[in-house]
Amino acid sequence: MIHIFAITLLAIGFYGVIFKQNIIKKVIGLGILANGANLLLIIIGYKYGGIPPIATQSNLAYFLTSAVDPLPQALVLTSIVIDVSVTAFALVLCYRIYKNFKTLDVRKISNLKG
Amino acid sequence: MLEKTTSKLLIIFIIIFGVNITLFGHLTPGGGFQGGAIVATGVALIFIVMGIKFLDERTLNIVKGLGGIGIGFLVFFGLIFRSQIVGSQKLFNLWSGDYILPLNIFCTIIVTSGLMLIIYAMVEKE
Amino acid sequence: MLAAYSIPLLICISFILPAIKNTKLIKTLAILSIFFSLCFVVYSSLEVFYSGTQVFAVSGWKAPFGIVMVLDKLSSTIATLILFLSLMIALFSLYLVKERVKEFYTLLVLGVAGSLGIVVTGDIFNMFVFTEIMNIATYALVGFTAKKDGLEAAFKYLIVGSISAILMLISIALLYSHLGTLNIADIIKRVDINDNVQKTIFSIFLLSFCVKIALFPFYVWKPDVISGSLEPVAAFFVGVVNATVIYVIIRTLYTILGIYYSTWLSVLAIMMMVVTAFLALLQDNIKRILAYGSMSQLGYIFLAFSSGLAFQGLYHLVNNAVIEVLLFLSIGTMLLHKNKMEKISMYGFLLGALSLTGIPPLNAFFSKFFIITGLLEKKLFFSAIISGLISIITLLYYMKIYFKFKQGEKRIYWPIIILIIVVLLLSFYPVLVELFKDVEINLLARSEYVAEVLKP
Repeated sequence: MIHIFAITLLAIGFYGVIFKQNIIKKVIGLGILANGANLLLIIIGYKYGGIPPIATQSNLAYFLTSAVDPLPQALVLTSIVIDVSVTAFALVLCYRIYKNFKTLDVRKISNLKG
Repeated sequence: MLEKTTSKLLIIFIIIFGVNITLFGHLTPGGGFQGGAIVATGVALIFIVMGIKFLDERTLNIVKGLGGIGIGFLVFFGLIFRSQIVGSQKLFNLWSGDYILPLNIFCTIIVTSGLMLIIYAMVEKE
Repeated sequence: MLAAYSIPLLICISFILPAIKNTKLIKTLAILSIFFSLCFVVYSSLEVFYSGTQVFAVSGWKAPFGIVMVLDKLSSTIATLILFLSLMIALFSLYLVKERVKEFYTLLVLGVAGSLGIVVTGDIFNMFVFTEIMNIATYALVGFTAKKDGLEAAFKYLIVGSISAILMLISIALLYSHLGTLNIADIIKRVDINDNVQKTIFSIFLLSFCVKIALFPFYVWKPDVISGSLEPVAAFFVGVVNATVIYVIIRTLYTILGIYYSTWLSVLAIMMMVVTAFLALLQDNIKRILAYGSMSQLGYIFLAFSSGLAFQGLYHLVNNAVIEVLLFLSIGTMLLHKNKMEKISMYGFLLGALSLTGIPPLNAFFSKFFIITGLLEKKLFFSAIISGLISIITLLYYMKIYFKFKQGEKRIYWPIIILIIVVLLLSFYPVLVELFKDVEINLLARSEYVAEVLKP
């Protein structure tokens, strides 16, 4: 039931990437899409009434039974790294397209056809 | 003038905070990439506020290469020098968790230099 | 396992390369690293064929808890294939890439590392990470020339590649939430094929890879991307990336799910074969015709795999990858000889084109023949007739390119000569049929895969 937030973000991201005509807006949509997927990963690991999965010397007794799952959090860290690199590359590509074509409209830069 | 004085103090704190997150990566949340991103924020602050390139692109590439050589050394020769690199295995200690601490340090070096290279590539030459 | 050292070798070399100023040292280091990785993988493949599946637990964490690298017969075949093809591409780009050498070789070594990682790993999130590494390297390689065609091709590929990667991440997240594990052998143990939710999750996973390889309804972006990039990059795309993605699709369908016959996939494969063959006849640009041609051959491979003909499909996959790389590299000599085709490359192109249409003693004739006889044995007459008819159209559009060539002078390019020799060697079909039947038996044995990886 709580997954509805992640699915909303994914829907907004897909709308932005597919239907918007400005290439900067497409890159923003890509960022929202990535964030939606990361949120879905974190929501999956949640446990009702759980504690953060950090083991100190005082909570070793009840740590294993009530800690939230730490594996999806490690997956999300890797995913954030990848999204940073892709967004950085996409922005530099948009800058180069602007210098070459003098426009940011994706309909005007489609020259390869057939 | 105000921002130069404030940022001199702040940059030192940011870099020390980033190194703290890296070194205790196997005990508290954090680790290689997060510490590297924070140290890169500190170095980027030097670049933006004071206008000098603290480490220029050639030095950053060499630093990244040294980080790569460090990780290569750990992968290929790590099992041979195991007793020098890995500390004791006591729980909740700084030197516990074999191979995570050296890998975190090298990962921070690589990530800092990589993110600074991205920031330098986005600045337009006047 | 020695092949586990090849991925760290490639990635460390790609960190060291930007710091070097001497271009000769850069080229030597890059080509030596790919060559040593090929040697390691060939040694491990011989070990696999003599003594069974090899499993390597990274950092000593055993199978369901840590990441494992699994080399069974299919993985070692495809790993050898992609490393050999990328060595040929790296050798050919010595002639072609004269400026910004440092960036090109760094990206190429990263791309090779990513594609090798996908084939060797046994953990499904590790496959996602290596897919992204290969994607980022190819985004930058496609837009390498930074002129108008390259930039537009790079942007289109960036959008399509990112959407397919996000779909893969969503399906991995839902898979972890339902099955509780990320290890491929553990997924095989826990998967239940009649459960509707799990069918949906696996179809999203397969959808992301079908978008990436440009299967039937999602094929519009690929000819634009291939015609906008340099020829070695297009060869990397059509040879290495295709082989890797087909490996993932086969691994999901045959080993994880246990599906050998799929009507929908054969319908999509036939539509792709027919539509792209007819579209290739209408084009004028040489690289676009070659791109549509490679997509038509992909239709053959998917038709074979979705009708249960595994070793025929594998033989055609290997043949197709080698011939397509030969075709694109011989087109690349046109840039070096001022729009005239060099003499030996023209004969290489003719050999590859005739082989793909199905002229008798060449290698792709045997693989197509085995596919068509296999389809006739399974009483799928419609598919067999369509496959035969498309071969004639294949001949038409390859001849359309061939008659546009002007002959230039003669110069020896070693990668093209080695590829011609390999194409001729692959025509000795009895040895190869035995080899691929061996791989097929290993591919269909799901419980042995699980037993080997999850040994206590």
